[in-house]
Amino acid sequence: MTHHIHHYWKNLQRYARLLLLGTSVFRISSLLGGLLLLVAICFSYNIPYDPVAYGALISLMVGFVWMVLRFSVAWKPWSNQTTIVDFVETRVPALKGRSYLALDIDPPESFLRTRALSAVQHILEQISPRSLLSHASLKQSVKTFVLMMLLLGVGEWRLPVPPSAAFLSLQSQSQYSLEQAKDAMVNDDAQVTIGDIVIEYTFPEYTNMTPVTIPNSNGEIHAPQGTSVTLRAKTLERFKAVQLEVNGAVQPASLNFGREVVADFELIEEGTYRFLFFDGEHQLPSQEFPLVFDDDDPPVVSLEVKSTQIPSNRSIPMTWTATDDFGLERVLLEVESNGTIRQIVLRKPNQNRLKLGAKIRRSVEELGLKGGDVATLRLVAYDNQAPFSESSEPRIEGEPFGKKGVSAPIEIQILTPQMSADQMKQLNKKLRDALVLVLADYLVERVPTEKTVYRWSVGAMKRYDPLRSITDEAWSEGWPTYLSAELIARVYTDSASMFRFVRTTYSKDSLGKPQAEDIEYFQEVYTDHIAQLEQTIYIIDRMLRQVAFREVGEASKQLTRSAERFASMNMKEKSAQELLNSLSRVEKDLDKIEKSVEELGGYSVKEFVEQRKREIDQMESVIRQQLSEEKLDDASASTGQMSQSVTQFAEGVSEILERMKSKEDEMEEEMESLIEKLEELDEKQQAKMQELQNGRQNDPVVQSLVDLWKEIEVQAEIAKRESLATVDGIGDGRGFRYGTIRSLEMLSSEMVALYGSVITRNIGGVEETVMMSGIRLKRVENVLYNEATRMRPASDPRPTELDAMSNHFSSVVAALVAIQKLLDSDVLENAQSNPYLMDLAQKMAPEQGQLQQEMTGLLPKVQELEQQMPTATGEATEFAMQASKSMDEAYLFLEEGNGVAGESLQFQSSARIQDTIEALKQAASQMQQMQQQTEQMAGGGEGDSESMSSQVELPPIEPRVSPEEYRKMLLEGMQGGVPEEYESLKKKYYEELVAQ
Amino acid sequence: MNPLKRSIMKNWLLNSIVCLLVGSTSVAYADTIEDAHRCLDQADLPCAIEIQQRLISEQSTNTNVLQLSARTYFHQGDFEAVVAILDQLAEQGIEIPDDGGFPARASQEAFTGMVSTTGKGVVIRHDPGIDRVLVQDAVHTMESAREVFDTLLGGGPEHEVVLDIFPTARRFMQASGIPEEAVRTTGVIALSKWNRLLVTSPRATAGGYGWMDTAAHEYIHLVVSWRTKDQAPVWLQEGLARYLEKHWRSEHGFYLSQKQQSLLAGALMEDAFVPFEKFQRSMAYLDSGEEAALAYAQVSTMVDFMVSKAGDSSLIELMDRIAGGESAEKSVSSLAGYRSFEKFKVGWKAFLATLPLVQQELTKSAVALDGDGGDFADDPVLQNRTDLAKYVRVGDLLMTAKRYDAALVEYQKANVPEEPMSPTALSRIAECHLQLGNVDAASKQLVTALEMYPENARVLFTAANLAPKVGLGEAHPYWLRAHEVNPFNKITQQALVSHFTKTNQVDKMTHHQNILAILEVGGLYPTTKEF
Repeated sequence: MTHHIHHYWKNLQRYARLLLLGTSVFRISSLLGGLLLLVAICFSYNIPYDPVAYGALISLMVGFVWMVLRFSVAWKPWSNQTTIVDFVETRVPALKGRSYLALDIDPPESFLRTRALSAVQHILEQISPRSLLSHASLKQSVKTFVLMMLLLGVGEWRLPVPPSAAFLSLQSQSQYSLEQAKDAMVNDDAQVTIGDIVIEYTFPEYTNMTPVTIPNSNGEIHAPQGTSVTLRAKTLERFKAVQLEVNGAVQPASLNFGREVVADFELIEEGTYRFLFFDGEHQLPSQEFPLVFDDDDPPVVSLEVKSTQIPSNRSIPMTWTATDDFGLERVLLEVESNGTIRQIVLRKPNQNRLKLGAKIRRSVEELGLKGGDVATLRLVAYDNQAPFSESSEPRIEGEPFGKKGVSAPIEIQILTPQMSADQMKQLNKKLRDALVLVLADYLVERVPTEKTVYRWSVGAMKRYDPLRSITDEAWSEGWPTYLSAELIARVYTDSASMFRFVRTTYSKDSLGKPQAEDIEYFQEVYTDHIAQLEQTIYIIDRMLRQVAFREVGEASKQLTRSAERFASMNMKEKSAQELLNSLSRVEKDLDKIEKSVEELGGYSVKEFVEQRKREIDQMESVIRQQLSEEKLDDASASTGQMSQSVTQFAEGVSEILERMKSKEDEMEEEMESLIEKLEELDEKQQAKMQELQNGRQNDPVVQSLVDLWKEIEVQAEIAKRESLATVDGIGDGRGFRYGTIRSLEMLSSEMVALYGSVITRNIGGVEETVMMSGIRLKRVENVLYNEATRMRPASDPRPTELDAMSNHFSSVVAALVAIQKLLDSDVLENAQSNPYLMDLAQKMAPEQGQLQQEMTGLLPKVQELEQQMPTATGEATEFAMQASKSMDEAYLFLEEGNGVAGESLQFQSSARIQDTIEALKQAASQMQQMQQQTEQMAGGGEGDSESMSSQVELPPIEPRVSPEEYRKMLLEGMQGGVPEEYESLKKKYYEELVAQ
Repeated sequence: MNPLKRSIMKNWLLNSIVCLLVGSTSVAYADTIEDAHRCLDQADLPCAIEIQQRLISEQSTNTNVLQLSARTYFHQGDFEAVVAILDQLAEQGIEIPDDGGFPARASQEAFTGMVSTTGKGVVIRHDPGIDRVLVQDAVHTMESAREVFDTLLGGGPEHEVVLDIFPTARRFMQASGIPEEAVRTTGVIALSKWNRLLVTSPRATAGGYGWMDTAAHEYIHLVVSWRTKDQAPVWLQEGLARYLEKHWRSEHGFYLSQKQQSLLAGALMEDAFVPFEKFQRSMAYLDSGEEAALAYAQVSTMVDFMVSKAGDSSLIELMDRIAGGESAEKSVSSLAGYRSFEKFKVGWKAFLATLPLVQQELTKSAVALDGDGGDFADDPVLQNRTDLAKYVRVGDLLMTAKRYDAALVEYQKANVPEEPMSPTALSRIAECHLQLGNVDAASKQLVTALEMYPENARVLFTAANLAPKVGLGEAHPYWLRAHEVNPFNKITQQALVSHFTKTNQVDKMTHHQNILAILEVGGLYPTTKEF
């Protein structure tokens, strides 16, 4: 029960305090308002700042203290419960002191007490706590506050310095001064000099630039739009206030100690700024300073598309760049076609990037284009800052907002397969015609000699310029993989190789003297290159002619349809104009044929087509004439005949095409069958060779023979090495006579050949070289002796290497003597006349003869096929003839019982058969490429495939090494050791090198 | 034996058995049918027609008579009548298949739209279109051939000789019954069969061919068949035809082609003739085209040898003797004054040594039909030698670029030692030389080309164009020769019209003007009136 009474007291306490607080607030507000009004009145009456300000401050403090004291005094009683009970008992006499019972702590149980408290509760329930408290003070303070507000309002309305301004002015004296200066005139004649200007730039976020402070600035402001600028400056004199005037608009500024100016503003627009200083009477301006944007220009973009005609199945290579002074937001590729614009985002960097660029490829589909479309491409880049004029507009999420940079438009055309084919055809024609002119120069000139070859090479290289400009233009993005490109790449490579050889060998800067073999080699390469040019021209031309004929085929079918349509027209019902129009379609188709006929070449097929076409042409003219003369019956009859002729013509062309195709298929089949037979033959030949090798391993005498050859090989190697060392001794040739150099070179060349014969176990070659070496050795001995003993002028001192060279030479002699002794040994004789091996060889001879017969049987077929294949070069026939010859020689040696020589020739035969197969396969492969390219050029293929091999460049000239010298170097180099597993490869390569 | 004949023989045997049973009238009837067939076999068409007409009036539904009628009409070239009879027979259960021996329906199809032009004893059947340019010459050739060969051989067929000129090789194949593959490999483009002469238009072959001599050649076969009652063996047939084929002309040259001359010269030098026994029975068993060409050369020179010994009149006697049943070998040798054929051959070899044979080896051109044969279809060397054709083509490209000196080098590469040179390359070399101002060299090349390839249209065309410039005389003889090979060339005809106008040879001028007129309308022909 007591808790109800306590609750009542608590409510009463809370409400009393609330009243007290409210009253105090209103009183303080009234005090502040009164003071502010007073200050305003003082300022309005130009009472100086200080007395007013300090007076106001003191008044505020006194008033505030008084208020606080009053508040405290009033608040305190309401903290004591007994005082509250007293207050209540005083206000409610009916309680008669009974309410004190509720204050007892731990009272005894008593009925009376309970009844008393119950009565108190009952009485208190009848009386609201609010009714016990007086509201007069609150009402009074509210009234005072309202009155004060009204007075402030009047003051705001009427006073020269309204209370609000007075409030601001109170904050600082300069503000006060500013207020004072409002009405002061600006005295433009007097100018305040400011100095020690420091400018702090805080750049907009989009620039991603860090803040910059410029000390000792001249006051000029250069910054991007939106930059926050803080200015600090000093004046010589003191002033009361200062304002910043930016483009005529005044903004507040701070003035410390009457001299130090601080002002902030945001650079929104260009113009000028200045400070306005107030000296108490006048506003005095500072000098004006410019405000200049560091322009955030729109991005600068570029787009490059090298080829503006792009086949529909190829991607479009593009190179683009975009730069911006403050950062790129995104880069787009804009594709405008058929009145619609499609945008493709190329880059949208996460981090601020000032420059972007890439080489890209986009497929035609990705650009939303298709064959036949003409489109305009533009590169569009947006920076990361919207133009300020538009900054107020709401941004659409995800949409670009910055300034836009657009590249120059590039018009591209997407080629349909037919358009691509036409382009490819035109290109091939150009290539062919350019190649023809290159070839012409080769054909009519004298074959260069040793004396003229260097000068020749200088001019001859220029022959390729027109061709190169065509290929550069067409294939700048990379070379395609089709046959023409492949052939021309080879022409470039081989011609470059030829010129490099000439420059390397015959240049004045070359060291060493060109050898006789060098000019022979050049002439061989020169002839081969002419053949290569002929072959390339022929293949490209043949493809063009085949395409032309296919076009004739297509056009003739179209012509048939047009002619039939025309023939089916009822001439009496149609107007003359309609008939003539319809006939024009026939004429159009004939024109198409006419166009293609030109490319057929002046041969039988062309004559066939031309004759038929001419006849139909003439029929068409007659019909036209008959129509114009209104001889409709005649025209009708003539049309029927023409239609028949056209049908026959189209059928004829179609049949020819079919037969051409079947002939090619037939040739392909024959080729496959021939290759199969040659492979079988090669297998048989290798089996025979293996048989001999196995037999040799079973030979009881073989080990001693092997040992003997090893010994010969060691000596031959010494002879070779030492002879080359004598040549090395010549150095740059100074101090030696030409004859000496030549003799030493000849010797080393013979010794290299000797070594070659030894490792190929060519006993005949070894014996011959050793036998013939006597004269050579004598000659070298003499020349070395002469060099050592001859009288020399001071300018021609005796070479220091001469003695060492003599020693090397002696080693050569010793090695040859050793070889001769080994050759004279019985082992060789016994081995050669070994009855076991002889028997084996002789037994094999008939089978070898059989193989040779088989090869001879295949030879005409190889020749015939090569003669018929446009891509063949005659190599296969040559190889096949060599194979046949080797096989025949193998047979003869085997018949004599010479297994070693027989085996060697069997090896050669097998190699040549493989070469034959390879050459045939190469020709067949080119035939297939030809067919593919023909398909492409006829518009039926998949078009020009994506590239690509890298561009063919003329290789640089290699200084000082002629091929002959290089070969020597190579041979020397090969003397070094190699891992065991490469030993056989090394040997094979060495043999081939020596054989060359 | 063809199916028609086989069927006839079968029925005839049945009928004969029936006849034996029923009486002698039927035997006589059967003999008559057999006689008619024999007449047809012996190229005696009037005889067959007479019997057939008589029998058909008596026995119009008899299947044997109907079959005889079909065969007779087929020989006459009346294919509609043949097909009508075949349909009638089919209704009676006798099916006669259309095959190589009796291509009745195929012939009817091949003849669709063809028209005929008649001359004295000759009927030329041809396409009404552009092939009309051949008609006048065809009539002239056949009339001359009839006159000359009938006289030389002691008579000719008594019926009108039909010459069928087919506009395309395909239609020739249909009508001749020769399979396409055989025509394309053997190059057969003309035939004397079924008492008719079948030739392919020169327009259907690459570069044309000497079609008039070919027609005459085929006519000789017909005459020899008729005169010898089809007893002459193939070798003699070919020998006579080859030897005489140019005799219809007022001035006939040597009958052997350059190729045959070179083959013969080679064989003579090495005594490597084709053994007579190898082709005595048939020329079909020879091993290669080369061997066949040599064999033809051998037999034609044998006839020449006989005629040189016994005179032109011996030909008539030869026909009579063979018709009388004497062997060809015996007749030929005895007429030439030899007791045996062996001795005749010895004499013949001696005779060969006296002939001015060209020794240079030449390649025989494979006939290319209906635009077939590739770019160099009319070039016997290049048509199968792509490796050489390459040089010629590259040379042509150089010529187009006006690099004549370079082109010349390239053309010369097409000349392989020991092998004949291509007529195209020879012609081009001559042109190059002329362009480079080497008139003598141009002339020399042209002469060589003409000697080697006298019937090659390209060579003749080049010769006609260059002859006056290189000192080879007037152009018109070459234009005329070019016309004989390929009369479809407008330039050729214009040149000839111009020449004959200048020389006031009205008939010839009119002839070529007519051809030109046909060419200028593309062969269009009026259909409103009968052709």
